[in-house]
Amino acid sequence: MAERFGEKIKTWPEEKKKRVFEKLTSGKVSAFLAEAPVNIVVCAYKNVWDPREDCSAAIQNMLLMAKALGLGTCWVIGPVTDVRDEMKVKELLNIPEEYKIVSVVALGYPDEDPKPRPRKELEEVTFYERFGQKKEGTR
Amino acid sequence: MSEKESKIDKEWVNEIFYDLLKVVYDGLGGASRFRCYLVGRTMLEYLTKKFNLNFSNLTVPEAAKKVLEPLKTIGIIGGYDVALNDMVLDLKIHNCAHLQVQKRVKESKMPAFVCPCMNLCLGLIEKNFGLDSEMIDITHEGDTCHVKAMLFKY
Repeated sequence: MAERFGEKIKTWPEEKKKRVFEKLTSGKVSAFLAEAPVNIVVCAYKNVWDPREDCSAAIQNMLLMAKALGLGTCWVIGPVTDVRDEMKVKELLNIPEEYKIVSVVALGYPDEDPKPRPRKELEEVTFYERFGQKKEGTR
Repeated sequence: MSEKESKIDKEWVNEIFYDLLKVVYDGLGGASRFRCYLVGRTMLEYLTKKFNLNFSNLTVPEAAKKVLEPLKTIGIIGGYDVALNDMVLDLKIHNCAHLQVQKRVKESKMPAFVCPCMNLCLGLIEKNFGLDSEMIDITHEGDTCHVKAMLFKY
């Protein structure tokens, strides 16, 4: 789990570590996909220069259009991040070897309206001229 | 070509191995370790045939030892220790032929994310015991790599 969550896991209480580990090894991390009315499996033809970038941009457009149509989406990679899992999904869906699965997008009518995730201030993530160099007058 | 001439230079192989790891890590970042579980695993069939290995009626640690022993015989590793503690498979690989690669990886500030020996064991465990797995940690000290993986069943 330390590999997945990095140094922050060291600050977690034991009870939380146990709970997260049980969830991770339960096979239920992306289980909600089974209940989604539609799952879009986005595949990239591998023999191009930028398969993941192409698909990621396309997925973002799908999410925006879905939102515009009043639909809800969830972009997940869990079922295909591990090469062993991706092999199983490819076999299940008969996806040719020359394609890779980039992501899965669950699509449906939302039954919740989650709050936006917290965002970092633009100044915090923007540098000028050189990496790490802040604009004069900013923190 | 004489036997001496046909031997592959270890430095060459390890440098190529390191270069490829760097390409993978630069491209995939932290996901690299999830994409490299098959590295080495494909040797399972080859080793089973070449050494006529039979894994029936063995425990997980016994099976792991059985598949690592041929690596010792062919000179890929100098030795090994295997333990299973509360579903954590704990391997200590001594004097691995690829140890230099792990050292180069560390120098380059990359996390170690591939161990062909562990992948071989995990492939065997998945096939023979139906257990899934996830690598926990790869570290090395001196001439020994310490590799841990969690075994579980969905």
